[in-house]
Parts: sequence; structure tokens; C-alpha cells
Amino acid sequence: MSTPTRVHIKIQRFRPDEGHPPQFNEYEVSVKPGMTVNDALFAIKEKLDGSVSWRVSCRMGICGSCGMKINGRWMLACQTQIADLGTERIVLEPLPNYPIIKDLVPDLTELYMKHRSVNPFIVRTDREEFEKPTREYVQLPEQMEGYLQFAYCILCGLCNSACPVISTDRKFIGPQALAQAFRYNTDSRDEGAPSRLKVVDEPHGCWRCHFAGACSAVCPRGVDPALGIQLLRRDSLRHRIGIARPKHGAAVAAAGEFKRRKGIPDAPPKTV
Amino acid sequence: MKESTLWFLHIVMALVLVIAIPIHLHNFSTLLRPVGAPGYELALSWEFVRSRARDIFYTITYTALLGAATYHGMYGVRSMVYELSLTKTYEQLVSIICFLAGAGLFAFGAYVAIAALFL
Repeated sequence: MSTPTRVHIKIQRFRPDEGHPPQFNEYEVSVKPGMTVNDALFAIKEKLDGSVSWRVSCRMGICGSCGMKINGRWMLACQTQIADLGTERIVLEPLPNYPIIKDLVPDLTELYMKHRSVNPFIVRTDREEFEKPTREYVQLPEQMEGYLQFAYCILCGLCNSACPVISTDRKFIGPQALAQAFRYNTDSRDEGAPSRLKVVDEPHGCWRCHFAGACSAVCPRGVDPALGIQLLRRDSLRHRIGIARPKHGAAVAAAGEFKRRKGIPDAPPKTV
Repeated sequence: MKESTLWFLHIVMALVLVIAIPIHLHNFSTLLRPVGAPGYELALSWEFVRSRARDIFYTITYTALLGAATYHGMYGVRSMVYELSLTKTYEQLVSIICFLAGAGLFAFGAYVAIAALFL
């Protein structure tokens, strides 16, 4: 695959305050080795059109800010190199299933609200110990493996954007939040599964998933939200018919209960 | 009723269908004639239809088949309509309509199956 020296980038432009329907503007950009779509957008903004808007932050696939449709596929602009697209014509569109704030900037409020609804944090009943810990919560590596891949979610929103159910049912909680509900339900330190299951065991919760798998196909972090939803359904059903595996909160390690392995240095002294 | 309960019933009904549909269809299968199936023509003859209708085993099977298929269909319709992002009131209305339509169809079908016992 030869790298083109110049590419034509069509960007969907939209300003809701102006009242015009979205339209495409085309820009021609010189390609440099290793140039990403994000770099190309910066080049356009600096040299061709300062009004082009998109969201960007870390530029290394960690923050999940720069999700957009690139040539019809859901991608992070900072992770997508122009050379890998293998074409001189690139079309950039904002993420579908979200309102557009401007150009390529989607309004992710709905994503965050749905994420928040499933209590995406460790819930404990021993509040005093949890807030002022005196010892460690023990978690074995194999217990961590049960949820680890779902902990890689960066909240970029590509999964919800690609979800065909959300496109028709705006109330559907969506793959991102459902996968996070499973992630925390599975965490051995967590005791908040009953409250989360109340949220997901609703008509627009985990049962509305069609298992199209689009969420898993587009995730830039390799998370499989579709799997998480199916496992969440299994757990929800087990809970409903009373055969859920009893889950006890993680044991709090007693002082001196675990011996440190050889070669592991002491923690640095406290500075505050 | 919680959605997981409805889903659990959905799976139970699917299992009922997996058992009841082959029992219903094997009568029409020409391939199964060597193992005692009557075949398509005989299965539709009045005498054979009446003999099945008088058989309590078929009454139970057909009633179970009807109940499972009705629940399956009505739950599917409800799920599809729910995806139209309706308000809570309309969603409840859809659930009530699906329940009443399903219950009515089942009651009528079950009545026919039971009445046929006395043909």
C-alpha cells in the first residue's frame, strides 16, 4: 500500500445555531510520514480553515476524546494513520447517535448520564473501613481477570454510537454502561450488584440488546461489550430465579497476614 | 413484573416450543412414515384430525404450543414497539394491549382444543 502525498479530506460541517443542514467542506492536505487523521485536522485548522471543530486531548488513544466516523468506520482520529486508510479521499463525520455540538464534536452528556446510572464504582457496606482503610482488600489475579478487559473502557462512546438499538431506542442504556455494570458486579471487592441489577433489569436495560456485536467491533481498546451484556443477562437471570452465586465482599487482609515476597522494596516514606 | 422474569418465561416458552412443535409436525412428515408417522395426506384427513382432537395428549400438546407461541409472539411485539422510544404511559398501554390480546387468543384457542375433545 503506497502512502499518498496529498489527501482530500471531506469534513461534515454543522453549526446548530446557524440553522443550516450539515454540509461537507473539502480540504487538501500534504501527508507526512506517520501523520494521523488528528494531525491532518490540526493542519487544516492551522493553515486552511480555523473554524473546523473537533474534540481532542491526549493524542495517544487514552482519553477517548477524538472518536469520529472516518470513511464510514468508527475510529479514534489520533490512532488512525492516513497511510493505513489506503486512499486519497477521506470523509470525516461526527459520531452518530449523539446530538452534534459543532462539526465533529458530539454531545456526550447522554453517554455520561447512562454511565453514571449504573454506579460505576466500588460499592461497599463497610463504609467506615472503605473510606478510611486500615488494611487492604484482597483480590486474587484470577478474580481480576473476570472483569479486567471491561476495565480498559476509556468512555470514548464509539460503542454507543455504533449500537443499532440506541439508534432507534434512545432510552436503551447502551453497551458502554451495561459493560461497566458487569465490570463492577464482577469485581470481588464490590457489593453493589443488587442496586445495579435494578437499573439494568428494566425494559430498556440489558434485555433490549440485539447482540448485533457492533459495539465490540468498533471498540478501540479491544473491549467486548456485547460479551459483557450477555454475561450481565446471565447474572441478572440467576439473581431473579434465586440461583445467583453468593458473592461476599473481598476479605480485608489482616496486618501481617500476607508476607512480602523477596526482592520487593519498602514503600517510600510518606511526604504528607 | 421485572423484565428478567419476562425473559425467563420467554426462554421457558422457547423450550416448550422446541418440544411441542416437533410433536405437532411429525404427523405431517413423509420422511418419518417408516417410524409410524401418518404422513401429510392422512394427517389432514377428517378421521385422523378427529382422533387427534379426542386424544388428551394432543389437547395438552396443542394448548401448550398455543400458549408458548402466543407468549413468544406477544413478547416480541412488545419488545419491538418498546424500541420506538415511547413515553412510560404508552409503554404501559402497549403491555396491557399485548397481554389482553395474548390472553384472548389463548383463551379462544384453548377453548377450541378442549371443546374438540368432545367431537
